[in-house]
Amino acid sequence: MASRMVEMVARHADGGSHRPSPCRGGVKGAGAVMAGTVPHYVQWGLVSITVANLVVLGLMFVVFAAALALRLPEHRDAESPPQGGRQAE
Amino acid sequence: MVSAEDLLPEELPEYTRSYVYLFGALTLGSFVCLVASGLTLALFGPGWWHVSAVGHFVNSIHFWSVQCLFFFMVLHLWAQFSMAAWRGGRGPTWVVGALLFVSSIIAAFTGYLSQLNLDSQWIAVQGKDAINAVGIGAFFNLLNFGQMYSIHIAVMPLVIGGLISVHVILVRRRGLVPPLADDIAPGGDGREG
Amino acid sequence: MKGELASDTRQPRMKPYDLVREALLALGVVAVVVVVLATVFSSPDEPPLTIRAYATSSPLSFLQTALGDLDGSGTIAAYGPPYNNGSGSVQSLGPISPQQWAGVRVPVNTATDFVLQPLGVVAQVEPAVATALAQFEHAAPAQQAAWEAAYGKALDTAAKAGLEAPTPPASAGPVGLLLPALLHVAQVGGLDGLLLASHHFYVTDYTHPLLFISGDALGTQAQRLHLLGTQWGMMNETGNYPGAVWLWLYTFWYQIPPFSTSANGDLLIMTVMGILTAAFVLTPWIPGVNRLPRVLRVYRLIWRDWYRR
Repeated sequence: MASRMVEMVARHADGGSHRPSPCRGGVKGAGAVMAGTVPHYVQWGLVSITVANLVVLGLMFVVFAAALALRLPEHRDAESPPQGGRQAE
Repeated sequence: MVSAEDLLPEELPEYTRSYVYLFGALTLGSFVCLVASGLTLALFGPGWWHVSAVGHFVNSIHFWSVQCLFFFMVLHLWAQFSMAAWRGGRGPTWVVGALLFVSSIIAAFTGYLSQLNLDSQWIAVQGKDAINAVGIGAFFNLLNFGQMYSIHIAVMPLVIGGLISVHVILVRRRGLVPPLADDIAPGGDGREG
Repeated sequence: MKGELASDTRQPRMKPYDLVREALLALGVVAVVVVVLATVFSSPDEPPLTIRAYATSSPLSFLQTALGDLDGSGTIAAYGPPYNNGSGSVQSLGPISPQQWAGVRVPVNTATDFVLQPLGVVAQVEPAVATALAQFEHAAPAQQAAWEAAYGKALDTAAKAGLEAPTPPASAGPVGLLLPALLHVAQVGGLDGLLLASHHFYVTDYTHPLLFISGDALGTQAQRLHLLGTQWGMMNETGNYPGAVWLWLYTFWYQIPPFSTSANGDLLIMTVMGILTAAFVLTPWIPGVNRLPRVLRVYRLIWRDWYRR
């Protein structure tokens, strides 16, 4: 197996739009950069993942970790005493 | 089946105070955004977003709602699995949730096929081989835009809406799963029975 | 349930809760996130490939595709069910072949549907095409095959020489006129409509035109945009947008043998994914898997305040 290397491959070949669209963009530039171009991707051995997908994947782990680490804000209302409830199997 | 009090509880056990408990609601919120933007797209027809800036914006809402749906759904899945949330007769709730995941993939798939662009073309001709290989290529013809679009805007929303209703009712009926017993007896493994 | 992980039976304190407020808050958060993302990044919309664009940009490839459709050697011509009785793309696992069991249900005869019928329309207005078409259709199959083979050789020679189109040799007979005529029709936009409409007014089924461009035409675009199966393409979107990240496991199998090298790769993968999906649905009852939560101990973080009490 070849040694593992992370390499950024960015090619900016234009997709060659065949139909003029009034709708590319969003905020000026951002949509145009994202559409119609060859994607930036990361190659790591067998794995090839686009940067966009990698960001989404990374965010999932970050958000899940944050959800575990952070505490919900406490309510100031008085608590109810322990009750028998539907928790029992 | 479920009392009003169970459906809209006014209090929950203290151990549910974690952000992971929000992922289900966030998934549902994503679904609402999908339906709202999807209905708008359906109202103006499948070609609208290619010729209208407003249409393209609504399509963008729909596109990012899909990303949010799967994002929060997977986090919800990770949380429920971590909690072994199927305990105490909640197995069916898990099953319905898993079916929701599969249904969402089918809905997304038919949605990608309905875009009327290069992506739809490629997904159709690429995906047909796998669908043909399992023998349903004629019944579920990816190359038939009319069929894929109809399934996407009518059949799958009803299926998913129905499954969500069952899922939520089951959650409310059984209540949220209690924590795992954390003290493990010597030689045991925290298992009942 | 016997064998189930044990639950904590201590009675909890109850905290006030407003489900409606939480649901609306969740909806609000997602709505804001989605609107911001839509405003900043928009959404991808790579224009569809037309047969006209394909024929104009890649005439040699078009002619090779058309010849394959005519002489039966093309991928779709030899595909198999549900389109025809070929065997080129029929997948099976030993004696198990759902594709064959399903049979031909979406009949496609590439020679007739993609080449001869469209040319039949052109023949109504172009006498030279009418003559060539009649000559071809009335010839014996062996003669037709000889003309097709001769034209195929000319295409190979042109490809090696880097030419856009061959000079049809005399040995190619009427094929040497018919296929260039089809190319011309395609280049002026006529074939897109002819393949779609074929005897119907309202058409929402794009089977014919999509199958026509399913080979080199779309494949070249897909490779450029990193959408091929061997490029983890199922997970990808056009441009720099996130794709279907949730398809990672399904996509993974296409990268490794035997799935990536087998002619039955799709069926193999669908079988594996079917089993794994069933296991996912039935997780609560699968020994070992249903005990993983205790092994992973993530629950200790979720309920850490409870355990501290």
